[in-house]
Amino acid sequence: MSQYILEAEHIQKKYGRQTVLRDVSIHVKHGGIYGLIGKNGSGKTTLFRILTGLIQGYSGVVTVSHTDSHESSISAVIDSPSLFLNMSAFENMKAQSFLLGIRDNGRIRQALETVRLSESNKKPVRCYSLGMTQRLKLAMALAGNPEILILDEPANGLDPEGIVELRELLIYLNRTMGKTILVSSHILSELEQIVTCLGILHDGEIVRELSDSDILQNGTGLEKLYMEYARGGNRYE
Amino acid sequence: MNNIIKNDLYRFSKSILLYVILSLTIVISFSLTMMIRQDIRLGISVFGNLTAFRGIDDIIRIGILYQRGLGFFIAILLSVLIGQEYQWKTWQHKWIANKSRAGIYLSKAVLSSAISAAVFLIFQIVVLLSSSQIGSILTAGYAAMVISGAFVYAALGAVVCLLSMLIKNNIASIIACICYVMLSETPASVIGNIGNLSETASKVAGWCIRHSIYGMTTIISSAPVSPSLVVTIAINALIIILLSTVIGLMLFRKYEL
Repeated sequence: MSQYILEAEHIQKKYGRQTVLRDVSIHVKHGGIYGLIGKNGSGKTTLFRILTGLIQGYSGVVTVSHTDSHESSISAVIDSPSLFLNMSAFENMKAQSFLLGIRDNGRIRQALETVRLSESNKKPVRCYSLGMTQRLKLAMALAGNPEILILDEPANGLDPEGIVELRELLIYLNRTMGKTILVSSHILSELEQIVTCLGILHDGEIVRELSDSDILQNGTGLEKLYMEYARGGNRYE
Repeated sequence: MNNIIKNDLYRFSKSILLYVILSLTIVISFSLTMMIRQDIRLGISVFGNLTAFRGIDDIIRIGILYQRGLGFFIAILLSVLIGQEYQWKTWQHKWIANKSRAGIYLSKAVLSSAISAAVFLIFQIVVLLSSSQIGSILTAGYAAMVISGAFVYAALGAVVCLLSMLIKNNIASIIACICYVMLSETPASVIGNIGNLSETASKVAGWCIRHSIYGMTTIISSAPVSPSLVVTIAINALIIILLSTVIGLMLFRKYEL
């Protein structure tokens, strides 16, 4: 069995004449947290949408290996809001459970408890804070018990407490629940604390893939490492 | 596909707009019937003969002619419910749950046709029950008319679904669906005028109009409906549903969700 649960090889995607992804290959290990970093417009969201099948018309190969014990291989939090704003958290989860063929309301409660959302909150999602919305989206993604979670900038707009809670939740999902996570973020200091692998996406290409040992051995930190690729280092030094 | 239909049904059931539209349908049909029963004649000069009801038959015909009211409700309801998926980007849940684009589209098409027919039937049932003339109204001809009308409204729902699924902008799809309903008489007039060019053109134009949704409602509302006509209208409506669904499926497959 391959050590990689998700592999994308030589992914290319164009929109008209504009090439968004030139030649992207990533390799996500079982049970790891793969961080993807890149500037705005580098193609992170496009790559995630290709991995989840939301986008067609690309070239390259995406391979997902999964065990039969999981009901769905991949689940994702990509777009926003991607929730039914007129419905409560429980109702959104209930709708999701119909989709997944889940009849047990206990699983809905469990997913909401995991992300620390109250089942009894009847407010529609449009009244939720950003942090609560992000947590509900994670709960929706967890409902199908996927092996792989793909999260596109989940910390965007969160306050410091929300960022810490998210980090703790991702660590829990990975280390306790055994989920493999593919996450993008601009908050490099947060990514640094959780990732086991890292991909740097620059101008539509993965310019470097780092394993956990590479990350540990690199003493300069993710920020300096990324800036070396993004613009050849610190402009002001 | 059952799971997608259950998901959509549950979501629709949580929509306030659905209950508003159903309530409006009941209130309007009941009010108009009561006005006729109480011999209240309400003529609004701006609308000319549209509101000059003479009897229950006129109320029944109003329900059949979708462009006179019910079609407007259906256009708004379906375009909003479907457009919200684009607006709130909730398609991804269905797709990531390994549901096919065909299944996603078919679920919406089935429910759209069902809801559209249901709104029409609710209107007719309320008119019938509140008319106090059930015995005289409930004839074979009336039943044939209602059955034909239900098929026609189902076809209307399928076409509105097609427009809503293919137009990603919610506002634009609402406007397009309303325009389709309210202005459907215009293309019929244009086709009719084209038919004046020659005898062949006249036959083709007449065929097109008779087999359009607008044409079918005009036929049902203007003359007694025989059982054979019911069958013809049902088949015609099913063909329209099939065509609009096939076209929608082919185009929706290429959409990025």
